[in-house]
Amino acid sequence: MKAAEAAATAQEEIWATVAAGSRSTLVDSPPGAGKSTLVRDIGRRSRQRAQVPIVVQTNDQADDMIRGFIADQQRGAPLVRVGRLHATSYVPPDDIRAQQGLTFSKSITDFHDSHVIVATAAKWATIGFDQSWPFAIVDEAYQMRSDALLPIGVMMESLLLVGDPGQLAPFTTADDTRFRGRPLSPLETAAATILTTQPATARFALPISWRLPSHAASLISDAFYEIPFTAGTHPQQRRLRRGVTPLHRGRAADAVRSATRDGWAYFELDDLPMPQTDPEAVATIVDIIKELLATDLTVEDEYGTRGLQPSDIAVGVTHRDQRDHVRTGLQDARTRTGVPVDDVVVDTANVLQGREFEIVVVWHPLSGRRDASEFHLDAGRLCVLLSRHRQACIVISRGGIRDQLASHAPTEPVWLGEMAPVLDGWHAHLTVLDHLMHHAV
Amino acid sequence: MNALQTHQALLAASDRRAVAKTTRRHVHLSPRPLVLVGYHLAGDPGAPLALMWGTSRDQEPRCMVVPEPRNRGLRFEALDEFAAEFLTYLSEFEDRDESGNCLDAPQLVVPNAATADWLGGIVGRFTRNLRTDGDAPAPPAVPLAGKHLSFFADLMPGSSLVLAATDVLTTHWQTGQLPSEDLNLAALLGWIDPPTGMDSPQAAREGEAAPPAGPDSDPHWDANSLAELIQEWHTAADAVSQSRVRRELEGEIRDQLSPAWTDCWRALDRLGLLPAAEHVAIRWQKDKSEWTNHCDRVAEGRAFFRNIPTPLQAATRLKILEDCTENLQREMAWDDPLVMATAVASGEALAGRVVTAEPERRTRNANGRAVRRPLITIEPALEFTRPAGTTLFLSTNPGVMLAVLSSDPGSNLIRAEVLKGANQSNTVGLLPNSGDEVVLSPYGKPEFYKRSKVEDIPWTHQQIIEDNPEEESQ
Repeated sequence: MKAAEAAATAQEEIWATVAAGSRSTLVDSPPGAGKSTLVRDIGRRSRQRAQVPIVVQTNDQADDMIRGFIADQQRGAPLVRVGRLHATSYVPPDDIRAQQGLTFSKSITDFHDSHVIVATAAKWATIGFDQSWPFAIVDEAYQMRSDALLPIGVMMESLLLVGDPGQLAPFTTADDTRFRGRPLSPLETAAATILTTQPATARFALPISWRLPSHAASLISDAFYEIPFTAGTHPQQRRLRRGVTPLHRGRAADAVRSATRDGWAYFELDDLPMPQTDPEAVATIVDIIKELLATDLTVEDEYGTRGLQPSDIAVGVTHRDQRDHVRTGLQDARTRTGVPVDDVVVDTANVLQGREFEIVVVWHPLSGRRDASEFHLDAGRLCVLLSRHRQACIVISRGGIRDQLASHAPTEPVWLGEMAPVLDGWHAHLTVLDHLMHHAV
Repeated sequence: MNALQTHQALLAASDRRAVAKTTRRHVHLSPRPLVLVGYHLAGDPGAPLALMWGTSRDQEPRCMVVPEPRNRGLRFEALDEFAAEFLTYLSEFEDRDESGNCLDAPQLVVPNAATADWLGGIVGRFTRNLRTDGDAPAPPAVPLAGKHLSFFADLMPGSSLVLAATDVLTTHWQTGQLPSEDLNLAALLGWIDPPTGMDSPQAAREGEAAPPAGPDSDPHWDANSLAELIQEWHTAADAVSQSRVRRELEGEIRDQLSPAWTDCWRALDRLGLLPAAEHVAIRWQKDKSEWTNHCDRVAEGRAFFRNIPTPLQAATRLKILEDCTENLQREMAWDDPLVMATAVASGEALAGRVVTAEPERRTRNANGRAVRRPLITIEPALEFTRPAGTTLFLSTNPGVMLAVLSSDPGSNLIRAEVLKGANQSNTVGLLPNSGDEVVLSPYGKPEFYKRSKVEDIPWTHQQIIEDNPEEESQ
């Protein structure tokens, strides 16, 4: 298979560069291009030389990384002793707590015999600088803030940074005026910092998305990425098969039908300005989730066939209060119907970054708004929400987005000394909207 | 804007009167503030035209004018006059206690944030590094005053070392006009404190007609009075006629700046009527230690202000800024029920009456061990729609952390179990009793993490700029 060969070649080139002792190497990866696989593979290979710290951004990512190592070993990869360095308040999830070859500790001194140590950037910043490592891997380098890279730079002599340039950029809740447009601003991404300070950085791009189905890869690539990529699977390899045909009629059922048939569905509500926690949008999302579970879907893909579980579905939103309202709606639905709809993952784009699901229901960031602020227009936010799925994506929104985009000129200041964003939020939103219109229900 | 604030703005508009957003005062008020108003030449923030200052509303304020603002000699002469008095004021706050901390700190009060930015960011910046030797030496007081102004330009949220009257007033009151209209101090005070017999919008319109509070002057006044006087200054033949022009200009400027000067005092008086919130004293303590540090730096000749911070400085600064921003928000909510009400109205916080309290309740944790998890059941005052698992904190004791449990079908009661802070025999008394009114808010005690201090800029943040790489390689 050509795609697999291209991906393997890229991986070997990256390893050759790392093994040759490149001080900094940056790998740009589109969604689901095997970024985590690459991190684990390079981690496994370079453990022969020295212990390898792996820097991730969130505890969920750290746990997923560990699950990945366990899964690799079950598929026959050599045994790697993995250390999980964590904060005092962290409780290991049940599924990895008792696994062999894993060490959990809040102290760096407990990992003498671990091959790799996985911890969040925040935790790495607390361990004191008595030790140093010749080589470390930073995952999600476009999600990591430049100030978080400072302690890493103190301890690590060379770095492989891996990340998705189309994702949400780091941010602060404080007034950032004073930090904008400064050279090496703490609000830059770790990747941009390395590119600035180390012009000799070896740079690679992974060419194939294994996550996105072919009907999504071209759209996401066109709308959000500078370096194009393609899907690693053929259109016929991925399919959602309906177990029962529910007797329900209505738009939620139509949306599920469109999603199972085409991989996309666009559910548009009346064009109304609404509060952030638009109750009708919440109710619609709950209906769609109920419908998805009632349909008894079977997932077919390159690995085989299995039933769709609630935890294979995610709802992506923009704000935390939207997340809370959707979760409450799902919990209520479970209380009423007994269907475990609240096992569905509901979270904001920031938290869903780097995660993967079979079906994702997206609450459009501009839905029900009167304006198009930079926060809501952020191409990264839309990109994260639309690129988490392996099978299908259902977008719900209030109407009138085209008008919002047309009638709101950018109001954010332009910062001298700051690079212009590579992506134009307006263009990305319009490209996506044009595509979704073909799948409106 | 959240729901309560929107309601307050609409209420203010329909009642034609500003609405209180707080029941407490969230800034420190010094017994001896330095009120400071000023103008710069239109279009040239680097050319101060006049400053007016004083520490008492009953005394005639001092006034500095630059008869020709484009003349640098006159500019620094005038700034020297201000600097001398500014330094005298600041020196009142240099007394220290036995542990070396300043007993009190100065407080600058300006009409608006634009004036604060102008004085600190521009006047401070162009004076702090002036040379006091060489061909054109600056009077030594000017760069020293510039260092102090620069210190006052770089403060954190929650600091009361500089009060911009419009900012402080809009923190405490909501008007029925647009936020951009609130930037006019006289109009804003019209809403908050209208003269007897006048309604607020009317008083605000009167305020708008008054001379501007600076740092920009009124263009009509510029054209009709200022331009003429500057012209007279240039044509004045001798020192006697020059000083006559100067006196005339000073009189004109006093007329222009006096309303803003009086308004600053009115703002302070209005704020003084509110009782201070609990955390105000704690934040002022922090201000005093910042002031002490600054005095030390000045005394040791280390008071440098970088225009472009190093990556380490920027990272430290950002961390402090983020902490201060968050702390201010939660302290205001803890201290003030009306501020907390905004969180209740937005649905983030839960307010209600405790129906039952079970301080002895025990349940099994993930490891199967029996643990004490007291439970309270609350009848919410407003609908509360956050999902089970949401963690909240007791507003009166933010160390007590609770998790919302799933509610019984058909019941509107909210059940919340204690996760920490009130599940030991010595802390369980912190829990409310049945019948008590409580608020559970998202504002918990801040957590502190020990972070290692990065001493030297690591390789990842060292930017090597080669002037001419080709030359070097030869």
